[in-house]
Amino acid sequence: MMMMMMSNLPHDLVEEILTRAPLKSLRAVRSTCKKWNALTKDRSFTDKHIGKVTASGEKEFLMLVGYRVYLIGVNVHGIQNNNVDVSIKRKAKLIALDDSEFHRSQVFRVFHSNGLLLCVLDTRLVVWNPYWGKPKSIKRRHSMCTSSEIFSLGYDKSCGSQKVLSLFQNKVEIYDLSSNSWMLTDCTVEWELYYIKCSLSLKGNTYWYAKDFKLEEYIICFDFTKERFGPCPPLPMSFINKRYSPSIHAIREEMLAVLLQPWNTYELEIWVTNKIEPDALPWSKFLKINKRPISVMCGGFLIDEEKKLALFF
Amino acid sequence: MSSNMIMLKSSDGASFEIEEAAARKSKIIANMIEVECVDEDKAIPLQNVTGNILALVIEYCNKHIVDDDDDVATEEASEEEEEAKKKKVDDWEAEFMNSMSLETMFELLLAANYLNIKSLIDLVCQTIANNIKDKTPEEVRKIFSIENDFTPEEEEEIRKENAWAFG
Repeated sequence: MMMMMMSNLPHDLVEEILTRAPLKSLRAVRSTCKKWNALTKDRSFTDKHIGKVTASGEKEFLMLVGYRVYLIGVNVHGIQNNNVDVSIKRKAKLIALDDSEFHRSQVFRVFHSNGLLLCVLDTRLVVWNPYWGKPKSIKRRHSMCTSSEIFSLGYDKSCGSQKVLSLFQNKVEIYDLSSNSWMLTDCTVEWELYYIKCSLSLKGNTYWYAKDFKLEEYIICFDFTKERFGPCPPLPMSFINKRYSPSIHAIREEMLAVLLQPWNTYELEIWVTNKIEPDALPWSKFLKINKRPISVMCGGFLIDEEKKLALFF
Repeated sequence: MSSNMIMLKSSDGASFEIEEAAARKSKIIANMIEVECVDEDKAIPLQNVTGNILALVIEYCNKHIVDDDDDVATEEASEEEEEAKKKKVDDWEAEFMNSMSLETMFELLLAANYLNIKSLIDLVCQTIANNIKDKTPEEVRKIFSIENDFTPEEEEEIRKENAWAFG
């Protein structure tokens, strides 16, 4: 009787097996043989692989540690006797083969939008999808201005084409990934911004938290479809006359959440909204606590509305 | 709870008696029972499954039918009990798979697929996939007896395409 081997299995079972291998094994799987390389490039493989992670209840996010990019998995198993059983693991590290600049320089920022990652290096940007491979390098217009040039990633909702934004000295340039070129836009930044941080992508657009010279605070939105700065929804005004440090976060590409922490108290609030409107954001309060879980300010946070949990780090 | 026994017959002629509730883990067998094409005195012939593999399938189904019963009986069990139960099943599954060669796993997977037992397909696929974790392409090829069919040029191309990766 013939010995049973992996190559004797039908295509759908081989796919069932390979979609269960961790993302960090993808390079090895693709380098194994032609059949596996072709199979893992299929859209259905990507959907199933992501589906397996989602079904496990694990939430994945990217973290920049020591100028290197890590894929972190957070799994909240449950709450027992006031103890939260949570596992946080470093699942994988971004590795670039034969890329001397990547190894020499630091990764300054990393963004993600619709499955695409953007890494900011010294002289170039690299856009890459972990499932498609084929990293794409884009030469930076203003290299060596690492701290003052702002980047983000989004997509045009009318045609789906993905775009990179560069904001430098109040000028906005857009790199369209389908035409492979930088274009200077005529859109201007109306505000005299003193401070802009925490960018995130939500439904193709980018949001930042910003402060102007009058110390007014906003959430600034860039609409990648119209290539315009969109309406600027106000932050929830909860801590009146208190200085606080907000950070913003997107939940499942559906909702925007903001964390407010006053500087002179240990209070903390999280507000969420799923409608992004010009004048009034229908913010609703997700959490308010009088004593922060950690004495220093929290850097980031994750929330799970179903399990009514907030995780600070 | 019904404790009707039914008979299954493997491709190589071996007969196995199994509780109907356990056999229903297989969607195919459950379907046969529903449409009443199971003659009480006759064994159900399973032409694609050999006796040694069918014995494993039955071992799995018997184990899981007991656990499913427990779930129904203790619906209000505390979370801790649930956890402990889950761990017990996980330990049993790990032990069950641990004693198996890859070749047996492939055959068990084909049988689980043919009999349509979703949870067994999941278990076997995950166990096979665990062999890929943290391995180089050479190691993966060796484990699964796969021939490297890339030309040096194609190998270089693959390397370029996957230059950036989570590792």
